[in-house]
Amino acid sequence: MKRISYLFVLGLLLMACKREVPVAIDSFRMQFAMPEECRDDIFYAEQTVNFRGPAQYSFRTDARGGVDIQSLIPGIYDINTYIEMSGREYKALLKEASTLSDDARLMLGVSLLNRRIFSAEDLNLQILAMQLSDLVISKVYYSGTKDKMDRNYTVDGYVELFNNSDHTVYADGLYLALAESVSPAAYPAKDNPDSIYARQICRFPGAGTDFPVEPGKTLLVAARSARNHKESAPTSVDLSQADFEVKLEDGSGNPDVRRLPIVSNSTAVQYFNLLSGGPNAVFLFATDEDVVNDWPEVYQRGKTSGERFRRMHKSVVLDAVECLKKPAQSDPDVNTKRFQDEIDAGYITINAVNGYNCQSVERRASRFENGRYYLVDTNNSSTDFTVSNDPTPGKYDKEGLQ
Amino acid sequence: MRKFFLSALVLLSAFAGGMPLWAQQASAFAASAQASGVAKQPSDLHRLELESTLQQFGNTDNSAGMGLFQPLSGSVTELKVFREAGDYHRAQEGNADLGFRFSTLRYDRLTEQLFMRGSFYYSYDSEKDRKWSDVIDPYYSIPYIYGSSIAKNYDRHHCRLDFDLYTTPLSDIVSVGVKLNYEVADISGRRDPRPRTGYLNLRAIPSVLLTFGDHHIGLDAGYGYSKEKLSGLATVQSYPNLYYYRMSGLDHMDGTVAGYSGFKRQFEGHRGLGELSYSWTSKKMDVLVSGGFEYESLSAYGDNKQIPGTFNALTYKLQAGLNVRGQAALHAVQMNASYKDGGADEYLQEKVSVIDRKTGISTQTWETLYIYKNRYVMGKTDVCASYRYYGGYTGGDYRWSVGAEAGWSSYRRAFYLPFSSAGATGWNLGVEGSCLLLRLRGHKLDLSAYCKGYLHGESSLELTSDNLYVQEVLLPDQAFYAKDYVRAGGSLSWQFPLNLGKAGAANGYVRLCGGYLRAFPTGFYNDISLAVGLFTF
Repeated sequence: MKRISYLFVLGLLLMACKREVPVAIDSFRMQFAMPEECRDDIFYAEQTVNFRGPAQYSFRTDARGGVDIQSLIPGIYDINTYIEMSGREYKALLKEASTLSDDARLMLGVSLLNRRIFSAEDLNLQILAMQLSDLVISKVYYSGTKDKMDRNYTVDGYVELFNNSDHTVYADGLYLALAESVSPAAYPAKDNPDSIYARQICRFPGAGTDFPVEPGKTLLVAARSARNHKESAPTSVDLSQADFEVKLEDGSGNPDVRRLPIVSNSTAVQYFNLLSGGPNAVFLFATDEDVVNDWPEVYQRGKTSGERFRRMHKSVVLDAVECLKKPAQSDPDVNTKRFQDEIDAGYITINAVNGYNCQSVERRASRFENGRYYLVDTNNSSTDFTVSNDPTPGKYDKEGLQ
Repeated sequence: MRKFFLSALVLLSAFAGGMPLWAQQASAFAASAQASGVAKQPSDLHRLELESTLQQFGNTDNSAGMGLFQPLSGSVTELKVFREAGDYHRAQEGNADLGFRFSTLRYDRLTEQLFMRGSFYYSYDSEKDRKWSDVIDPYYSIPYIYGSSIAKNYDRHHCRLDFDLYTTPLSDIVSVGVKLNYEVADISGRRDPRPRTGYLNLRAIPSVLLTFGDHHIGLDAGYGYSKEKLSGLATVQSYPNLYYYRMSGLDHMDGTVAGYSGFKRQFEGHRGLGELSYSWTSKKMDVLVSGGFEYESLSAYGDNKQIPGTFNALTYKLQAGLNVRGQAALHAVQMNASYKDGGADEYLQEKVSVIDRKTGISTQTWETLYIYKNRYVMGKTDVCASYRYYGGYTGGDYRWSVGAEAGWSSYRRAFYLPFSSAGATGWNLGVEGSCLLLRLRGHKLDLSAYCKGYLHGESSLELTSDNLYVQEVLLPDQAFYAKDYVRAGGSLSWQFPLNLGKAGAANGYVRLCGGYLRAFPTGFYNDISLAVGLFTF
């Protein structure tokens, strides 16, 4: 009976037109080239290369710094590979002597966002050497949550900075900013390869050594209100111990928390205006120039009124994280990224269209050594950051961060 | 009028040198009413069932062939309320359904050679606790479906108009006909996130029948259009963690908190179909063999003309029917087989935003980067054979019947890159019978009963993901297909004569139906319905 049924099915199938099904891409090579300043006998050998896309793959480069890929699902991939090394280690690879500090922190690698791989064409990728920032943005909480009455609660946002180096750094004089976030994007990175346009810029006060951040320690900035928000919304966070609070006047808000002043603003909002559903392109920069008087303010293209954004060159950026808005029907639109690939090659997004789901974006921990955490920093928030359902600041032993 | 038509037919046939057998049969069937001494009688339940059996072309899309057998002119109207409930169901089906159906069917002669069959059907029902599917068919159609994991009640309004127009042979050789179908439905969910779906289905099928003595060859070809549209989802409250899901085939899905916000999708379909039929009629036997196909092409559209993918399917159908009229007996054999082969192309698209530097106006379009051809494929096979014996058959009535049926079904779905698959087979067996308990002064009391069983065959499930959809839909569905069941039930019908005054005599009826299904090792499903109907001229 079983044989008859199989034969019957086989007969029917033979009658039907045979469908051509999709097949994986096979047999192509991905070759990595070291920076030009490196010696010719140096290869990007024995390193892990991660592909994230329709499927996740992890390859290992061979002795010649390449990978022979046998099978790959065609699609769009984020390709990421990196190694960290000190200035001393990097100088040992160079053809010529360098003035690079031995204590400098470098990242060798490449991060590609949305690389299209649809055919078996060999890939040739250039390894970049990037000096990493000592002070990085480690957490951004902007989604908000629900209060005791199930109403939207969005006054509990914060940005946390982390000293990822082995020496003390100082926040004095640094700038914390938000790029423009109008919809549609006024100045996306794909149309502006050299400039970033900020809608809000805050500046840390101090004479130079007033606000130290020890190695492995944090600096917490309350975006709007530095209080214990759990009293109003049990799922929220306690910001009463924040280091800085963005507010209009000293003594207002939480009088025990120092004011982080806004020095440039496209609107009248007097707090760090994180949007609950995004986008929030947060960045840290440093410059000796006069931001307010020397950097121009521009309207949106085609407009002569409304918001004006402060234009700056991308080279001033120390660290950045691109938080895109998640649409309901598709993946985030990467064409709306405000940061160039050299600033942030990826993006991160909370898993909610409008927010209010108590999620934060947090930088992953790469290792725990000598009693402190070191965080991942490849200048690609797609791989450096993850989404956490526990937005508690100052906490790096969360399961999802490891 | 009917007498005049038959007389004319007899005269014409004599003039042509002989009455074709189909005409003999039709006149004999009609004459049976005359032979009873009743000049004009409305139809009844037994006659309706016999007409459905003898009207072999009524089971095909070839309206032209319906002229071979002409039922009594008249109509039947029914109103039915029903309720069914149980825990033996698939994951994307509800656990209860409650509603009512109104239907009416009429045969009529418009001119000497032009006939019609028209029907109207309306139903309203409320399906309880359905989840994971805000589409009409989540199983054997386009895989780019969507839904919420929150169980909710769905209210459905369904309306259908069917119309067949056909002729008797023109110049004794060619009959023509056309079939028109119009169907609309409205489905709405009654819990956040609340979907509202509209559905439209149209079909037009012209047909022709060539008659060569007792042999008839039919051909029909037609076009259909369908549209299923989700205009949006509404929420009464706001939710911080309410997910909405978009599926792309088997275990592949994407869920987003508040993903229902601004979500839109519609399926637009075009169908082409064709059928070739052969019929042989004699004094004692009618044979019909029919084979056809239906090609279906569905496209999914999202916001701003985004295309998640397309689906195309080819369905092959084969059916054969044999009616043998014996001494006070009618044997009816029916066989049906169908095979549906479908495949979905998944579109990888990117939203392209272009900003006019002068005006700042942004234009957004979706650019297709790659198409995964046949990334999702499906196959479905159904084979069924049935035999029914009518005892005490007099042409327009019978006293009792007994029947048996057997069938085999299978389905297979597969997703490529990475590969996942699911499939199952099973056998159906059943027996049924009916008996006229009482006939007195136009009243009839009829009892019927059935007992059917399902034996599961092989089933398989091979997945690459382990997500909530797998846990709540695919695994429970696999368990559903792996169960055997026995189903028993019956109906009791009471038919009575009515006098509608100037409208003439009519037959009314009341029918109570019920059934119980027991699945093994666990599971049950029961149904009960009450219908009242009326036969008029």
